[in-house]
Amino acid sequence: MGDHGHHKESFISKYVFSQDHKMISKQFLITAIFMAVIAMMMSVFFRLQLGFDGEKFPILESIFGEWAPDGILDPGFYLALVTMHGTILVFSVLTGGLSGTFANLLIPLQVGARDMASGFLNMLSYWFFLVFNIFMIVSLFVEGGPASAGWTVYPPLSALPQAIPGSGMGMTLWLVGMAMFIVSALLAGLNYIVTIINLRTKGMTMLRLPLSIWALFVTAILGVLSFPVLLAAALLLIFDRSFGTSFFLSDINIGGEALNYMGGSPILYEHLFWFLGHPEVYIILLPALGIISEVIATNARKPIFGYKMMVASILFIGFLSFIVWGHHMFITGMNPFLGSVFVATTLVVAIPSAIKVFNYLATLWKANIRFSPAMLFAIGMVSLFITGGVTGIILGDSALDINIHDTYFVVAHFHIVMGASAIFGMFAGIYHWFPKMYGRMMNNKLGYIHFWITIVCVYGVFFPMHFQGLAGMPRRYYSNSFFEQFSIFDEMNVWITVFATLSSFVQFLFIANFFYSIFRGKKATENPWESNTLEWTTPVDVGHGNWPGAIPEVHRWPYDYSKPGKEKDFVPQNVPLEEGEVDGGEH
Amino acid sequence: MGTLTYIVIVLGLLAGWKLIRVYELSEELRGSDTEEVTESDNKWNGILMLVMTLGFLAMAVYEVITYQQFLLPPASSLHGPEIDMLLFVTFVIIGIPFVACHLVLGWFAFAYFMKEGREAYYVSHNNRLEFIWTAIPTVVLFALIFYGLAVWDSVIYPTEREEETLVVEVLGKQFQWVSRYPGDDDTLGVVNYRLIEGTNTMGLDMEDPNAHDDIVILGEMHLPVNREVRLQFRSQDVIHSAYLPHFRVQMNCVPGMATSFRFTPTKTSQDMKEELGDEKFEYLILCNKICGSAHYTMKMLVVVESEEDYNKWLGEQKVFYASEESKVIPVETLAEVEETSIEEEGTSEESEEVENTKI
Ligand code: HEM
Ligand SMILES: [Cu+2]
Ligand SMILES: [Cu+2]
Repeated sequence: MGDHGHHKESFISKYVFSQDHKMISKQFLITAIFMAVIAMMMSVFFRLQLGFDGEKFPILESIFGEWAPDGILDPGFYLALVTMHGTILVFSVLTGGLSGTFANLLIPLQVGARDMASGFLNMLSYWFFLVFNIFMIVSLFVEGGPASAGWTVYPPLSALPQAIPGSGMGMTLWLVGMAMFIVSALLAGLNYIVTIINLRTKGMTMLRLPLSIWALFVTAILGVLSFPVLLAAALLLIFDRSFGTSFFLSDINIGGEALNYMGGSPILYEHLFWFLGHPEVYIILLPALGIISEVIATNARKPIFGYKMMVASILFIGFLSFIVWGHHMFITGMNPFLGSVFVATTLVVAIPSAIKVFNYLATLWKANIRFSPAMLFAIGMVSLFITGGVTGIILGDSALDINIHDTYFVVAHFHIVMGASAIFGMFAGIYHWFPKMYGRMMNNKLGYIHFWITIVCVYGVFFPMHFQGLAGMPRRYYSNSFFEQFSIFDEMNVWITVFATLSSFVQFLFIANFFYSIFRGKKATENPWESNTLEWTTPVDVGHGNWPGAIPEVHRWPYDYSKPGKEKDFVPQNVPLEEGEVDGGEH
Repeated sequence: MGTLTYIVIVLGLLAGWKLIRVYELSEELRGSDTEEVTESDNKWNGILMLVMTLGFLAMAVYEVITYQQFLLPPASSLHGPEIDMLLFVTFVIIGIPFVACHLVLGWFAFAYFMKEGREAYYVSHNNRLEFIWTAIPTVVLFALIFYGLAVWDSVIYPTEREEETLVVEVLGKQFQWVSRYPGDDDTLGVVNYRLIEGTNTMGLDMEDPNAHDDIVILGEMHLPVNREVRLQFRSQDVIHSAYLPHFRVQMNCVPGMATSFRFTPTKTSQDMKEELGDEKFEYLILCNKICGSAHYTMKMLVVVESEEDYNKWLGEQKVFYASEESKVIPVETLAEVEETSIEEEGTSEESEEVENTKI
């Protein structure tokens, strides 16, 4: 490829139809931030309904018009908001946004490549992703409103416009948009895999890859193997909706009319959905864990503990994630024996997860911790991962799931272990690699305020929800007023809403810091965190092609922090081994 | 009004921008650098980490204690206590690593914050340690798996009881529950979703004599205490989920598919009122699967009472066929019934099978 860096590029090819992985990474990030703000505001709006049931908020009417008559959300629209909140956060922010940003930024830079294997496919993957997001936004304005059947869009609810208004045009857009998203994910994933396998620089063996790359690698494989199944489900659902087939529908009598569907099974859809859906939560989680592995090692000034076990855990988690999907379906009438199998596979996932936590803790032991905002968010993620991980052991047990399936216990569990935790990983990544992306530093002090208020709010919002779930409070309820027994939670619901609102306002502090620093932040130095990985060997204003000269050669693993007998407390990967020096943490 | 909101938001963002600028200038004047991680940043964040950890654990303990009273009362079914016990044991087992890991995390973050003269200890792995912390979770989790599966097994396949199992059908539809009792012949008559019309909420097929004495009730169900019941679930439109939290029972209602759950209520509604000191207490079926706009309103009253009271109540219920309403049903559905009769056989076979697998 040679020296690409100093070509004169037009505005369009540089910022819009860019094929430079670093620019594509920024495009993913900005898009994800934009979508995250929308989804977050939605959560504030529906939390207002849950916290202050029956109260009028004129602002809701001015924003949503007929969907919030007199300032009270319409029940159907409440479900639409919940559905879009979930869809946008899961797919736009934490799948496309998280992987798109960091796989694009880190893979070529950390393996020592000039760009992705195919810059063109990479560009296409962003544009398909953008189309998906546009579909989601457009669907907010169509007749009947956006998809409202929950982010899992189970048929028949999602198949029949008679069942809920959102299953009309909104649902069509959701499904077609999802097809676009899957195309994006597949193009991106293939590219990531090929790049990691083929374009590593000299000396970058697989076991010298930073854990971030291992995580992104396994994530890409999961995506490539599981997204096609969701595509199949979406297409079959489109057929059922529009062309009268009966893949998922049977024996339905709705709105006083018996429909002609026969022989289909909604449970089949659930199987197809969760065959993606479960790997999906690892597609979200693994990149975040990869990010914090780098951030923790760099800022603890210490090698990540048990590197090989970490790699093995990632691989094992990736493998297991394909054989646990049934834990979402224990009470669907699925054969109970099959349920037993899924119990066993599910609980086994806790083993590699526990190993990862222990290794992070051991990494912090006798460290020399520099609390950059990235490090705070990384430690915060470990904290959330512990809290949310342990409750998975309860939900994975079919006998216990009977009583807490689809209650607020589940909402608490997945928000902590996957939602907030991956968002924290994403924040850690943004604060850490901001200097690489924009050549400037973010404001640390604002980062500290951002972190401390956010973590308190996250626990304030989601921890109490465990108790609501254990008391039998179902999720996806517009109001609890129909069930006298839940009035005991009225006060708790107010507090949850207060914390949720506060936490979303604090995110604007981050956003202000982010955009302000892009233009006005202090100029960064080449390796501000004194890190070992290759991306920090590129110049600050790095052009297309990454290294102005030759690509650096790699001589050691990425975790030589505080190695005895060295002058500095870090030794970048491109520094040759001294005579007699052993690589890979032996000394 | 709409535009006004947007203007306010934009102005707010601009104000935020300016505030940061002012803040930065003032920091610059004070000579501190907001982009550097300073010695005092490390110290304060380390301390805060410990404070947060302890605060969080204290809050967790506080909430466990104060919200205890909000949780479900002890189970009202025969299999329930087993689930409650499993839940308790699991909570203890996960509680230990939960507390321990948080303490360690908070402590390390505090004890090892960066300061002048501190050096990190270069250690990359330790096979013995790693073996231990792989082996322990493995053993504990396998024990939990076996315990959990044993409970699952005894919940799904309860030991046979002497007296006959009562069969009640529950139909979910937007946004109501309907129950059906087999009547004197102890056999539920054939139903067909195409026959659901007007007052024939269950789609009873009157060609079938077994259906003639079936009793159909909207929004209410009575069960005799200490007698095993098998609830058979159906849905007429979308997926619903019949959730009876007090009995530790839940099962999805899926259109086109028969599901069921077998259990034995052990406390009457009256018992529960006394136990909880709440005259208004009632057992309910909630809908626990998103099923449409009014999902949150879908409930059914469940009354558990003595065998006598139950029989008395049942005797007072009108048989659907004999009731005024059934006359509304047009008889010309015969043709339709014949057309779909093959399918009905399929359905009844399916329910046979369900009887064998008990779920
Ligand atoms: C400000 C922070 C957040 C708040 C206050 C919040 C709150 C909520 C609430 C109250 C629900 C509805 C629960 C129900 O009725 O089932 C919900 C649903 C959901 N949230 Fe969040 N959430 C937040 C952030 C996130 C994040 C970061 C994620 C990323 C994974 C996420 C993913 C979801 C999903 C997947 C659903 C389920 C949607 C559905 O039921 O279809 N949320 N959220
Ligand atoms: Cu799962
Ligand atoms: Cu429902």
